[in-house]
Amino acid sequence: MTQALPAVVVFGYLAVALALGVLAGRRGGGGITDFVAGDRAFGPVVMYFVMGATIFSAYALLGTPQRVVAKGSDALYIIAYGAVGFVPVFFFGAKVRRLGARMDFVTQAELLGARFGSRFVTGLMGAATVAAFLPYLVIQLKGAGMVMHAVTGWPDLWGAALVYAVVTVYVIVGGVRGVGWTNVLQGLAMLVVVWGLGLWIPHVLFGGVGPMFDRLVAQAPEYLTLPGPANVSDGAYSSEILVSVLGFSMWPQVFMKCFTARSARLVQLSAVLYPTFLFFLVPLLFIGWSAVLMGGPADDTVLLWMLERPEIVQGGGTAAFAFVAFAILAASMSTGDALLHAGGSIAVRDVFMGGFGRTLDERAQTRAIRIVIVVLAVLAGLLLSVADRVSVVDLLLLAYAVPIQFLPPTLAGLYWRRANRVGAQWGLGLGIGTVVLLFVLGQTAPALYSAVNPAGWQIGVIGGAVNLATLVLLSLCRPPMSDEHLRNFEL
Amino acid sequence: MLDPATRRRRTLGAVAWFFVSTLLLIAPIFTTVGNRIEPRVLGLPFSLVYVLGVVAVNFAVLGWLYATRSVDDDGEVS
Repeated sequence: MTQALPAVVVFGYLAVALALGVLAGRRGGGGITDFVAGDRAFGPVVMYFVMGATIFSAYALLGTPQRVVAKGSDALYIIAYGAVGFVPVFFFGAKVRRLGARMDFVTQAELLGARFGSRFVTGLMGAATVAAFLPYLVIQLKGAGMVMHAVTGWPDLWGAALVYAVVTVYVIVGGVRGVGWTNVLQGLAMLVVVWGLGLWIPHVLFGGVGPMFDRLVAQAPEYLTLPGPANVSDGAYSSEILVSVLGFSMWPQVFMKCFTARSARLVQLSAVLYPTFLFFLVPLLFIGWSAVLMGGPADDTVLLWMLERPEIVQGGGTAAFAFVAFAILAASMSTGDALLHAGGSIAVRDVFMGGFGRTLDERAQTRAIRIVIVVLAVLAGLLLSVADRVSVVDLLLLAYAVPIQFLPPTLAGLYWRRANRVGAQWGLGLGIGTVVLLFVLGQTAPALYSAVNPAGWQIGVIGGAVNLATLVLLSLCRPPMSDEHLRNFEL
Repeated sequence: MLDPATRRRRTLGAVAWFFVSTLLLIAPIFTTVGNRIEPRVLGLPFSLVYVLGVVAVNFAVLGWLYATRSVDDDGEVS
């Protein structure tokens, strides 16, 4: 029976998530605003978990302990950027929520496209977003496949396919409410399991968290401060934090949740409470430091590796393994569902309708979004199946550079009267163009890339600088948009 | 309800604080002040406590701004 426990927990959880998501789909008005923005009626509990669980992906669970083993206290950067990364939402979130309700926006690109009177802005943002989502989605599938392999022995692809079949169904049927309701379950699961395990593992192995650090101080103190075992420079650590801070609040699947809140003030409350989710990373660091003392592998299998230690297995390892599998799936699915839902909504609303100027009635929009969601899930599965030949990590570099490009037009659009269409179009176009060009150059002509970017700056930051400079310059050179237009945006 | 001048002042002050708190987390401030093992707090290394401390202070600042309706408390549209 104990051997069957992980399978029982995992399949039980999948069944509950499916039921919850489908049940969520039976509530609400059923229109397009309902499917994409939950009729703008999410309450505080769902908002809290949506924001937290969407951001914490399978990568946070598997990657945080791995980073400690590989780079020591460099892993603190994950908490450091979270400390300020979400703060901008507190400032702009309420305004975004108000504008969305007043002018019927459900995506970030719709808001900016309207502010700058530009279909180009909406379409380009939408297309870049969907492209950025794909590798991010593949990482979530990879985590799910790995866990299902450990639980059932199936090939990774089959496990990922089953898990994401469940996700796809509840996203298609439940829309954003399906995403929201399941995220409450997934967020709770992550918090409880990760905290339980993060305290329990050091206790079993070393007699507690304090004694674990005593041993680290004595045996491997280099893992507790920079530069750490991988000799990370101060500049590299700092720029990791800054880059992550710049893009953090701009991820469209998170940004568009501002539109789902019941009130503008609730968006602010979500930003206030968000840091409490950050403390969830602390036990993952404890597990990482425990793994350092145990000589664990410096790759993303380290969390599962820890659970195979004889001391852990004897102390109740099967149950622990079952719940870790549950938590990793929860983390993968709570991010994956938001990516699929947002990806479908953005492809249809921003690229097809906003960018190409096509009109669809509400039913046709919802149908089209559902089709795109299935296509995205299948595409991610295909990418996973060739992931050993195509480096998903490289693609992620490109993905992380995209949201940074949205920062200049978003902040300028919301707060700067002079920001105009020409500035936003050229800024965004040149910014994204720079990122893509540098990425391609880095992949195909590394020598030339090093000559162009000798300091090794993040491509997102270079693109962002080009973007910002262009936006400011052209906005100052050309007249602002009309007062009447700007008044709609509270400017 | 706060008067617009007070709200504006507090908003600017808050933006300034969060800018400073970002600086607290990167070089050279973090690397000279926070990047050390001692003094340990409740057994935890100081580097971890320092970063968590900034998170806690930011949480408190955001909570205060929210409770006092200091930032963007314009009329609701539902």
